[in-house]
Amino acid sequence: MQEKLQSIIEKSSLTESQKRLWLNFIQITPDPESLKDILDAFESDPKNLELLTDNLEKKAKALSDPDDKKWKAVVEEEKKILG
Amino acid sequence: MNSERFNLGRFEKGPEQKEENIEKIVIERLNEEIKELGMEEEMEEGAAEKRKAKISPLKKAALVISVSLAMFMATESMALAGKYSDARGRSKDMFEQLDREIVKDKERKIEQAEDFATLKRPYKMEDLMQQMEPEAKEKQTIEKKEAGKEMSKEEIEAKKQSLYDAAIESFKTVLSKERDFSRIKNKGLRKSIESHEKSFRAELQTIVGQPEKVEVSFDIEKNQVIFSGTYTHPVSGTEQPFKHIFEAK
Repeated sequence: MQEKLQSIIEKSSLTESQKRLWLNFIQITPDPESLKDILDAFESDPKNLELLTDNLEKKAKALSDPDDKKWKAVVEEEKKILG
Repeated sequence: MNSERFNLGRFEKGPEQKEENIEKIVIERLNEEIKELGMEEEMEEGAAEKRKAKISPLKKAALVISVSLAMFMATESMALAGKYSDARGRSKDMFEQLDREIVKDKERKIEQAEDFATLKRPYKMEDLMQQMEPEAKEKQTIEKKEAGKEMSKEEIEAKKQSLYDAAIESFKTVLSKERDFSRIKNKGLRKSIESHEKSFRAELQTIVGQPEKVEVSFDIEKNQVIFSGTYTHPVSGTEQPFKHIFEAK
């Protein structure tokens, strides 16, 4: 599953930095089983790759905010879009 | 973009209160995300699965990203007090790389735009970067060597001893406190974090109590002490390798 996910990412038109971010994310994910949900999303609609990449970038950057405001903003935005 | 900002600036502010606040934020965030994902064990049997099945694949994946990052940060938060751990190194790498790549991407775009404007493309940007990076690295090495020359042998030894003492003192402080993860509602996750904590404490105990099992090296420029060796796993009883980096403030 992990290999399949990596293969989709590597073959995609994402930038090199985005690909590396995904590969880093796959490495640090504490529960590799949960990657299946990400794979399902990629396979259900090709547009999801782009949307989730943006989501991952925003969340990765938000982790740096000690007051947690950025994280909350990203999650709020996500809730508005995804319900 | 300032990589120091990503570089766990939140963890480098020191006081214990700060550490507890961060841990609280991480745990609250984790509980919230787990609840959202329908993974709560308090829910009726089967209800969690049904709820999860109703969520669209995109939302499920977005929540998995949140939970994975929050779990990673929760694990990392265990290593706050002494500014060390492999986890810290991994996230540092991740965010520094993100910073570097964003800068590279910008440079690449500027270069492409210039090429397009002048209809010239003498080099590919990747080629240029490859040419530039080794030169920059070499320059850094020379600068470091020159800085190192300014310290006498005695000064270097004294610095090493002071770094080592500070590391051991910090580890002892961590070991003197029991950490409470009862606020994490998800039992599976709590068990996993508690198990990680046990291993982590066993590693520190080895550094403090069995120095003969530990190899110590120093990076004077970075104010770092690097401890590596093996520790006895508290559950399996097997010898496991570890590496801790302590960085003095």
